Amino acid sequence: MKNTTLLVEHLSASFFTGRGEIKAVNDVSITVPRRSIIGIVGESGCGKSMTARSIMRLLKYPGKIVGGSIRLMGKELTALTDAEMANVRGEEISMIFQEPMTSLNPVMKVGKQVQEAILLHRKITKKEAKEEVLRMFREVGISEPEKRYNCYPHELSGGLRQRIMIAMAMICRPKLLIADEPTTALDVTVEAQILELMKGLRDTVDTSIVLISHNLGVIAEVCDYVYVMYAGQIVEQADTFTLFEDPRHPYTKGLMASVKSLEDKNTVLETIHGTVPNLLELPEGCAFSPRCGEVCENCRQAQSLIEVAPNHLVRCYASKEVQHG
Amino acid sequence: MVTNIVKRILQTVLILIGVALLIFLMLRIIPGNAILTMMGDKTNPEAVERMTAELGLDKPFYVQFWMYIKGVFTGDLGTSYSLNRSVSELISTSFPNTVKLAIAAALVAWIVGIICGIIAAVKKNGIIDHLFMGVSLLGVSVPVFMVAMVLQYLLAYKLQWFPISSGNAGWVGYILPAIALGWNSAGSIARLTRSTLLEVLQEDYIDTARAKGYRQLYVIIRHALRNAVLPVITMMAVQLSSLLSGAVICETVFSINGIGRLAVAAIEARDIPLLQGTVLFSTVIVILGNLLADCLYSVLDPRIRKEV
Amino acid sequence: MKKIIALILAVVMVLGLAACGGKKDGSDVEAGLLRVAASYDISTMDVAQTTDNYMIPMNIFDRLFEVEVQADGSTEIVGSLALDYDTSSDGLTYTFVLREGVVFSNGSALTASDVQYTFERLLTAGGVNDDVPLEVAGAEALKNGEADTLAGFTVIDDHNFSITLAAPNAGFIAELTGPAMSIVDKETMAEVDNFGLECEDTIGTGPYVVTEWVVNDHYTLEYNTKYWGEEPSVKKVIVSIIPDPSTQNLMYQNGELDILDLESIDSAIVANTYKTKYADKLVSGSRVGMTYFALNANNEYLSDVNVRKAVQMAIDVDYIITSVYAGDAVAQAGIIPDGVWGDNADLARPTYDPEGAKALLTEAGYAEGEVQFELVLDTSSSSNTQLVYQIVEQQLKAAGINVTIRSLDESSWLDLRKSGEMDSFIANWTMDYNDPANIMFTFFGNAEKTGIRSLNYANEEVMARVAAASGITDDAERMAEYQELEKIIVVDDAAWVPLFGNVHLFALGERVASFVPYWAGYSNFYAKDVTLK
Repeated sequence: MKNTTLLVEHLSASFFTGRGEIKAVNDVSITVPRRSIIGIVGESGCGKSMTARSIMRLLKYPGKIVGGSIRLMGKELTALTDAEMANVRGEEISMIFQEPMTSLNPVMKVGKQVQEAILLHRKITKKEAKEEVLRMFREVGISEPEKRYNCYPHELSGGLRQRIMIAMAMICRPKLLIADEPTTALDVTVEAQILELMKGLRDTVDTSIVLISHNLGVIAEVCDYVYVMYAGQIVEQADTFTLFEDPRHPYTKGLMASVKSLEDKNTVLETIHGTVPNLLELPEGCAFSPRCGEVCENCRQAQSLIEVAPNHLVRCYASKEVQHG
Repeated sequence: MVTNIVKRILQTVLILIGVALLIFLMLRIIPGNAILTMMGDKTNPEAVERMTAELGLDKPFYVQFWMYIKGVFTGDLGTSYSLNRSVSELISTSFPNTVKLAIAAALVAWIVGIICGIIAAVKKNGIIDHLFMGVSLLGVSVPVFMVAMVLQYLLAYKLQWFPISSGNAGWVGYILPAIALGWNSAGSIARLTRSTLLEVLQEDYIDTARAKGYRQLYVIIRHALRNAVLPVITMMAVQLSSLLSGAVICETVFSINGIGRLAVAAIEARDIPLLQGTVLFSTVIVILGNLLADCLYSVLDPRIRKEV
Repeated sequence: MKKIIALILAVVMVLGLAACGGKKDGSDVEAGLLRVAASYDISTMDVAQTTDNYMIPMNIFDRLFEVEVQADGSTEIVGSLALDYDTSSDGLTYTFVLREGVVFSNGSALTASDVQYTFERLLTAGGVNDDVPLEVAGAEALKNGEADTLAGFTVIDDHNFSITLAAPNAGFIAELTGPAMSIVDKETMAEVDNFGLECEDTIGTGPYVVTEWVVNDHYTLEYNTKYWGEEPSVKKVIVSIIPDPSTQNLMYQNGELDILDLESIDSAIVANTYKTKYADKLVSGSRVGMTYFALNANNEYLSDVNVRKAVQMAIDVDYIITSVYAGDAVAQAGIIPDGVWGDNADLARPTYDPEGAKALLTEAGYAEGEVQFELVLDTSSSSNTQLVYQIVEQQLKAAGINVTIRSLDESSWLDLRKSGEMDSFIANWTMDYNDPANIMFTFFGNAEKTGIRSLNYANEEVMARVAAASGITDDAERMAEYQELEKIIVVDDAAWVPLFGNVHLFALGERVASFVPYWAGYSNFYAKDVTLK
């Protein structure tokens, strides 16, 4: 337990709409060991971001956690009051978002926005806080930190803004950083720099990272262990090497096949026909079955995660057969 | 920056000349005559002739207009036909009362409107939200005179908390008129604040602020409000002109000696210089209000700072 | 958040309580203060320039004579600044004795030359109130600049002077009681620049001085310690400008006004509130004058005397009085109103007979519904008057006369009426002084006078006799002449449709012991005649 930063067990979260309950996160369990980088991959709408927001308890209305437990360093987050949870955010667990263009308040100097984060959680003077911010700016590779401190977001490039976001997230040296598509909006060279930076911070700051991406290339580059999500469920999980060498779930295989090149940022999942299902009208049994090329009679039943190898779990009836056969 | 200011001043001057010309034309198209009105029931042809000459009304239209414009640029707005006093003197005695009323009303509108808008947005779809939005709809749709008379009847007459006429009552006398006048604007500001705030609360940087560890109320105060308030400020500037026109009614109901009543008296008496003066003055106020809103806008939003 | 709301509520309550200091019985009001309201402000304090509002002339200035209302309601002309007068046998020359020891509020003594100056000023200052001095011999010459002084005015010594008229006028002394004839000080007028506009420049001999005038807000009168007469009970009058009648109504009911003029208050409120709840607080003064229906003889149809007679027969004045004024008006028969010298009590009112009117029109050769004209309304008139317009429209329709009401704002209305082209209208005349000449000559004195009232009366012989009547020195003979002319105009020529004279109601506050309206029933009153408890 000591070496586990985050332990998510049987987490479920739903949107309650006029048309019914949408199970966006369905019985998800994730383990984030200390100083590890965990990846969550899947198409948009598969529940990656919902999972991340559930962990932060930042679900947007009308979303709600309906079950399961989230333990950060042994502390049960679902049991905290709103005020207690607010204290955890930024201090022990922080998050950066996909769109650095819109994730910063346009009418506030970026330095101030980062400074806020530390002033909220540390009893220090503004001057000390500013020193800390400038130090952090240097740490995340921002040149001329003094000058940048007084800039407004619209005066900075996308890469710089994402560095600011990282500085903001890391300034309190949290135990866990959740990065939701942190590089999607950036071009390839900047993407590489940001990923490099995150890897470095994991080591220097001693932070675990949950990296959410639809981009298998990014996942392959930095993650130690990967969860593949589809329709609110984890369909396969394995360490990065195993997953890329031996994908078992037809969906994971489809993802792999669609990556023409790991360096190609604009990966399109062309080889999986069909689209992500409407969560209100999920098919019986395996959610992927309508799109699956290997579909059979057994797929009509609900599938459970099967351990096909140590630490390699797959939610597919067929994977069991492969093992036995 | 400097060219912009010069441009704006020129624009303002042109608008004012246009407004002056418009009033000049209108007052000559509509029937009615200042001198005959001044004399009331009696008529004295010699007096009519004398006064016509004295007021320069026998001169051609363009000469009268030129004389007037010349006067305006030297700070002379002319002499009121009906009140026999200099227009600038009349405006300077009544305008402070309108300013007091407008500021008090604006405070009511902005403070009540923004606070209610915030509460409604935070409690979105709750009972308070529906209540506030219902009341604000009432605020937007009920005319000023109605609110004024209801407030006057209930709070001043029935409960006797406030004086019925504000004339000699000091600042206490401005409370009811300010509520009556601000009510309308408060309604629209509350609705706009709610909708922009809800929109802003969907923005990514609000998530960022929450992820930092801010609680909801502080997120709104520190991050959402400043962004949400930008369109509200534009609305406030636009409302300035409706406040001025609503002031006419409030000034009448609560007997405040303000510029609105002066303008109404001027219309009734066909008092061209006085009407001209009050309308020009109000135009200047509205233009200044818009200018102020633009300045405020650029202070609050760094993105447009360079462009102004 | 709850705390903030509670705090706001608490602040509002405290403010409210702080504000509600006033007591309904007015026991906290300054002693000797009279609080009244006016719907609109005065435009000048100089009576030479206005016929609109006489509050200042009546209280700040004095006239040579005043009209005094007797206990039985009759009126009598009494000396004011003039103690006595004599008339020469030819009725042309009046010799006056001025009261001694009278000073203006700035200490300047009243002399005969002040009276002379007053007359000359009315003629030369180009104002609107020059009709009375115009009757003095040599007035035209002075007015036209052909003379430097008023020839008919002779100053004998400081306290004696005589006035010679161009033609005899038995109503002359009555005319001198009109507020327009307020006496000003020659010496003061030479010194000040803004007479009528600045309080300190507006100096009279009356019981009060103006101490403050904030345009469109209020003006204040205070007791003139140099006043020659008795010290009045009211030491100070504040006239607040309250344009909204319903505000005036609420202020009175809350004890914020001591006298409320009910004329501008909606008649439904008067009937339901004042006549019930405040019945013992009401004081009435007849408006000496009348509401009349003027018909333009230049109109295609109204030029026919039969049509005019039909109009007279079509209107049910009694119905108007009961339905609109709740009985607070008196039907009038002729041109000279009730209460005015020379009123003909024997003159019969036109009979109400809509069928007869119809028959008359048919007889005169008009097809059904052929007769039509406009009835023009001044939108600034009271809601009661507007109601009268609608009733008259209906009554005329019932008699087969199609009228359409056209609404104009006051200024346009006056413009059209004075052009002589208004088809018909309903308006009100209140007497300036108690003499039939005031209404007879004003409306039917000559072609120009009937023109500016859009009457366009065509009978030149009658007009000549009206103009000449004021020269008849024998009172009985003069009144007989007026009555005969009145009969020709109303009955024979049907050029005038008499309607009714209003009863002017005032409501008194708790602090007022007695109040006597001005004899002619004006809204303006003598503050010195009000007594406070």
